[in-house]
Amino acid sequence: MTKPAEILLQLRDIQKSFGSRTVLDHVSLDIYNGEFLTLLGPSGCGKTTILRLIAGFEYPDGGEILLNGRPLSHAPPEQRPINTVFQNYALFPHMSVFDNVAFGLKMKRLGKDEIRRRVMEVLTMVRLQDYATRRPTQLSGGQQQRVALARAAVNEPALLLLDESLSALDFKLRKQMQMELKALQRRLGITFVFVTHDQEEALSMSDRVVVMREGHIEQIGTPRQIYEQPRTLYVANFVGDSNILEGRILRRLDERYVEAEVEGLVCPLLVKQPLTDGSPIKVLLRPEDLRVYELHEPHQLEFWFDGQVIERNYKGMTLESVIRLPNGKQIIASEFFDENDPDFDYTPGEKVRVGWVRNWERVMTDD
Amino acid sequence: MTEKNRLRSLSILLISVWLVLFVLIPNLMILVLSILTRDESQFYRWEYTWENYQRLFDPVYLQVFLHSLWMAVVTTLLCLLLAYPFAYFVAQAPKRWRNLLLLLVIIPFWTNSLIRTYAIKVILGTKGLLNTVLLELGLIETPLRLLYTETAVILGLTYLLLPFMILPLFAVLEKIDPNLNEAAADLGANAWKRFWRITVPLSLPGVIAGSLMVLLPALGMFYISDILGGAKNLVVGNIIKSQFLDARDWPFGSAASVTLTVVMALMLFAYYRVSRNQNRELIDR
Ligand SMILES: Nc1ncnc2c1ncn2[C@@H]1O[C@H](COP(=O)(O)OP(=O)(O)OP(=O)(O)O)[C@@H](O)[C@H]1O
Ligand SMILES: [Mg+2]
Repeated sequence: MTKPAEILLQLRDIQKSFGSRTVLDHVSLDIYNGEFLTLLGPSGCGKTTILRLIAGFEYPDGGEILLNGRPLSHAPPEQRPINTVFQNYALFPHMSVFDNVAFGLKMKRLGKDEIRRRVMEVLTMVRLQDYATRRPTQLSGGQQQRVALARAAVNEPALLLLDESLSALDFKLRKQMQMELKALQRRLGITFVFVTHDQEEALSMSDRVVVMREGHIEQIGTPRQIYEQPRTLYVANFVGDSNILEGRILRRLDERYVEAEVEGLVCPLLVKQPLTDGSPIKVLLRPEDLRVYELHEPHQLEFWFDGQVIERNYKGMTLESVIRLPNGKQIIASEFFDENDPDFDYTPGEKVRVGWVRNWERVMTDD
Repeated sequence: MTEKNRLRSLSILLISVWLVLFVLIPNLMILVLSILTRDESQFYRWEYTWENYQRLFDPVYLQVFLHSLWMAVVTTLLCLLLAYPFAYFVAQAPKRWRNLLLLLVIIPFWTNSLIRTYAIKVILGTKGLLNTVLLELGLIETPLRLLYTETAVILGLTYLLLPFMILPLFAVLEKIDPNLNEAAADLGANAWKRFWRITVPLSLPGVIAGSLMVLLPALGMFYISDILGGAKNLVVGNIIKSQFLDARDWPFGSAASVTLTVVMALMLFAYYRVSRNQNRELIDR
């Protein structure tokens, strides 16, 4: 995905408190035209608050919001070219699906024919053209969600805000809606800001992910950057499964490598940060970064732990093993099934070699 | 378990007995009475007749009925006009304020309504509070004739029945999801349009309920017109009362009473049919 360069919306040093509680603490964020941006973070970290500030339901205590370079300052929601898909849909119960979707266009005083054409076009897009005369209460959760989406999208806003719009749906419907949402975004070319606390959803749908923590932004990046190069342990822990190994730098080998001791194992690590000898470090290894070999197997590891399998979990495509290192620490390794090796499995208690491919580790300091 | 069941049966029995004794039997008596014949010495005679109902269509009574309906309708509109903004703002107020504000609406109930009606009379009288103040201020030269007018009756009815409009309105307004207003704003509706397109349609069940709760009693509260209205501003309730107490024509009074009850029941039934659909949508949400 090429990154569109043009900035659509800018949050500059936004502060927001409710009473004595600081909810957003100097948040700055650029949103690019046409991108699918996801705000990801645990409950209460301020995701909804950011959306409400952008939509105009709340005003910042400090800082500025710029749309196309112009401050939105205190423009009320009805004057912003921004539409929201609410978490609880907020469909108007006294109106038909058609009237719900037509509401925004009627407010713009468009002609009857144009309203009819555009509403039916959008309803067709979300495959609800046959439901136009129904009341929202006569629809399933997934259908209501699509009406909410259609009601916002029909206005062709510069920016579409979606607050946990999929979290109420069951797994299958949710997967389906994720794909539909992506397709819709591509077709309309509208900028989406999507809120979720589901990291998998964030990674699979977004062009960029914003990881939040207690009212500030921890990292902004592509899903790949967030996953492979988390800037902090918090991000590493929040996004995907991870093994965090404790270690200590022994000495620097050259510009790129140090020799370190990790959970009792002496090994070379890729460390570009200037760290003094003896500094404590944390080594992040994703479960799929680990390689596990039975003792009799040939292997290409340069260094390894002698571990013991204590648990294994069948995960469909992969096999997940919990392995105990000599010092007692437990780590999780995840391997694809090997078609050439039908017996690929470990028995609990089995002794194995476990290591990782050199350079796949990510070394971080405490934060 | 059986203990609980016994308690339940007992309470259902008690309620049934109560309803039969104080609701069913009196109403049946009225119903039967309404098709009997008047008797000077015994109030009624066991002689069936529809005459009582026919007499209701006498122009004299029809006129009283229409005038009473007119005053009741004006009262209802006035109550709606006064209650809606109030209920709306109470519903918007912070939670801890709401109960206090509603309490203020209910407190006047603690004083007997008859006494409050006499209070209105004291205010409206020729030498009453209002006239005295207006005269003192020099706004008028001679006292206004306020008492024993249609206006006085409507004023009294409005004053006494206003809470019955406020409470159902508040109940629906409070339940409207604030997200709906935000969604409307988000879609470009300003405050005025949000009010007319979201708040008003969604509060309609409360408007209808409140209107019925004002309109129906306004047809029957004879003591208001007795105290404030004089001879020309009767309500339907006056007819019924005078037939029982003054004219001693129980059967005719019963017929009038039954008719009023039936009209009220029909209106309530219509409301029920309308609101059932509305409510279903609100509940299913
Ligand atoms: N109107 C409000 N008044 C007081 N506190 C509020 C208000 N709105 C939000 N908060 C507080 O601000 C913090 C952030 O809220 P926000 O709704 O933005 O979280 P979130 O990231 O969307 O969480 P979730 O994933 O649970 O939806 C929370 O601690 C919340 O209690
Ligand atoms: Mg939220």
